[in-house]
Amino acid sequence: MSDEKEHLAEGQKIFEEESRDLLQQAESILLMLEDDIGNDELINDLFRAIHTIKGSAGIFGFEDVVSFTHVAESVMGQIRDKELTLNEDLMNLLLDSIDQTSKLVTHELNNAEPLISDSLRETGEGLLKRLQQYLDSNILTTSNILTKSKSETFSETEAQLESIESESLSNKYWHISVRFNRNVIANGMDPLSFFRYLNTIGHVISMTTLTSDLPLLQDINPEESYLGFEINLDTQESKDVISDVFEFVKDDCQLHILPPRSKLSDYTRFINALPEENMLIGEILVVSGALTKNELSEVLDYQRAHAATEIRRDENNNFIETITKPELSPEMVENGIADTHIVDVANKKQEKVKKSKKIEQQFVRVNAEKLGDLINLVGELVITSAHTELKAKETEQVELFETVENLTRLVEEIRDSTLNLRMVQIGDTFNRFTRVVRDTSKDLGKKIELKILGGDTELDKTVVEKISDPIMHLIRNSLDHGIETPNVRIANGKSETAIVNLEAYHDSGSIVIKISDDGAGLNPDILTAKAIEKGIISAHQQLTLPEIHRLIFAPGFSTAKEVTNISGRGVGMDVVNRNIDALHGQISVNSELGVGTSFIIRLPLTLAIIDGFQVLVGESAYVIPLDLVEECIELDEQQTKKGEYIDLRGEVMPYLHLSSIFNDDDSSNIKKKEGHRDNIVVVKYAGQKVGLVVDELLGEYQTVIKPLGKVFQNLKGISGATILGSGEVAIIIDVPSLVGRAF
Amino acid sequence: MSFTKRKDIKKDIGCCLLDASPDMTIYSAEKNLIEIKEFYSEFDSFEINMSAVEEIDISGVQLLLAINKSTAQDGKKLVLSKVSTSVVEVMDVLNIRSHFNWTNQE
Repeated sequence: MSDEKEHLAEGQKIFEEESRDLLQQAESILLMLEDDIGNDELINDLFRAIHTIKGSAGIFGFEDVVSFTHVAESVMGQIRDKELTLNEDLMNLLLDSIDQTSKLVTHELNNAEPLISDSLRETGEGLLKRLQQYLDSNILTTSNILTKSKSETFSETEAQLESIESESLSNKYWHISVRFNRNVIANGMDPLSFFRYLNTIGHVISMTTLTSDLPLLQDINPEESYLGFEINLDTQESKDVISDVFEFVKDDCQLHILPPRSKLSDYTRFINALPEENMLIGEILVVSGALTKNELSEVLDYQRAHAATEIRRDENNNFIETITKPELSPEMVENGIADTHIVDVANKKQEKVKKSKKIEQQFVRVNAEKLGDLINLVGELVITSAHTELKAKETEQVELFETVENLTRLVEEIRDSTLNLRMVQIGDTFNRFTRVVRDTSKDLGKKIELKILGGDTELDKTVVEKISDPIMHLIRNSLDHGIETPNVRIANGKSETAIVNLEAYHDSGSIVIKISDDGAGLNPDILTAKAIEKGIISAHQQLTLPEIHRLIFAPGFSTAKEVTNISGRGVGMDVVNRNIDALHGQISVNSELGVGTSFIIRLPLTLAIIDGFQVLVGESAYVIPLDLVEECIELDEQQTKKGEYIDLRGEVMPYLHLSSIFNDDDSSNIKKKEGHRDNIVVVKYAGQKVGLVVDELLGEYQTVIKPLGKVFQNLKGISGATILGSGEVAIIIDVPSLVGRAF
Repeated sequence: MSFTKRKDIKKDIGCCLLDASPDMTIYSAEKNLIEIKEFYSEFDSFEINMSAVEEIDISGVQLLLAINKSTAQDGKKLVLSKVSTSVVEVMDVLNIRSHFNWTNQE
């Protein structure tokens, strides 16, 4: 019994993750559709996402979810089948429906009581009513469309022809048409094998073998090929994959591939390009299910009408041949493949989506706890291997030492790939903000475009989860306070649509997330006045511009004249600052009045194991994160007399004595020894270089970060500790805070 | 061997019984055609026993279709009997079962 419960709980957990993923996917698809309204592939994906949620919810008996998603699914199904067209109202309705589904799912998973709250029920009923309206109205509109398309078919003006041209037909499968050349069998190819192979990349819905070219018994050459084939294929693969099936015979056949829901004009062109008579081939298409009877008559009508216009146009030139093949485009003749259509439809964005989707399908879900255990174990392995290496060195046995070195290298690789397991792309988190920007800008009556850059930048999953809220806050802040209303923007000579950039990239051992807008910028006068009013600074304090900008992070600081529901409760920015602090990150702000504001967040890449650079100060070992180390130089006695800075190839660089920072007395004893020279480790953080003076350089060291106990947590200049191969403890230096101290 | 004529048991009703060869690929295509042509003019009705066919490729299918087409044109009759699984598989790939008359009788 308890086993069963456990199973159920586990299943629910998977459902929770899956549905969350799918809902997020559905949301981003809808947002993409906003820019690309007729994209069938996206609509298909949308339908599939909601369909899967419904199915999974059914398994767990989540009736509320099932009954709600069922209606939403029907509407999406009709959109997919072109019975309903997407408009702005429907788009908003679907977005709201996805929100509602998400709330219902959360309710089912978290609440013990079976009844959903009244407010949730009311919203649900309201949405269902609106969805139902669409379903009902559809019956009317379909008949409208039918009569409309008929009247269009018989009219003769060019404009209406155009509109038919762009009308997609109902065939939702790929249509493939193959005519092999006579010599294909003699060349050692068996066309049968290609058709069998088609079934491995998809499902052959229908297959029609054409015998019209086949001679009678007395005339046939048994070694030549006479058959033609019309195939309807259901597949998710791209046109390239399909045409690759015929790669070996590409010179020995005429191949036409029409994507699902091709346009009337595409079919017309296709029919014209085939060797058989138009009416015959049209009927074959009807039989094979590629066209319906009505569509065929439309295609033929269209063809006739088009031919008629061609004749009219060409009468003067007496080009009579064009009557029979009016729409034969040159590239079609050359390649036999109409690539243009697909190229037009598939823009880069969707390709990216497709790619990421393919990667997603290869994922294995792993319990985060198991992963944490593994990383801990690898940490121990790294420490033990360092210990082994040390001991092996002591034995002075070359062979043993070589083996151990190999082992160490392998451990390093294991460490890297284990840590990589926790790395996720930040793009998914970023995409969530598209919706926020869309909704917020509508609420505020502003026009705002969110641009996402570097979505494929990877960082630790725990960091990603924790950084999402601060970013959300910064974006909302920027939308609410930063960006002006369209009127103001136009008056200030800016474009009506504001741009918010969300960018992520790697920079020497940290990841940088940059949120910038081209809004009004921070007004230093208002900031200072406000800070004085709130008692954060005193009236006669003189602050530099960056210091003034940083005031927004002070607790209890809010400048918005009116508190909106989006941001401006005055608790935001200092919470953001604290959250980022907790991740060992830093946030800075740059702003220019009237031009825009940018927030820059720097975060450490990982929180578990790093490559360190080991140094000795006195008798204690310290570790500096290797990513931050620029170079090591010798400290020139002559230079030290000038003060706490040196001339680094013409650049002024301040330096710090680690011994004085950590009050290490042993260090001064060593210095008295003959011939001792200090070394400087040059570290760089956020573009600033600082030298750290140490007694000895020990070299690279794999560092497993062990958190410090509570007592030590507030020590400045230390970010953690690690255990050396000898079993001693080494302190990990917190470079960012030391860099801050030097300036 | 290839299209072999059986003992002429149905000669009285003008039907020619043929056994299709195990190999109906391009390698035997020429031979198969010659043999079928030999009997084609003699009879008005044909029954081809397909039970022995082990291998068939597009040329074999074409030959069957060509016989079918010719018989239809000339007002003759063609029936396939005891069609082996390898032939059925190919016919299903090409979806041409319905092109032929089938029978299970001897």
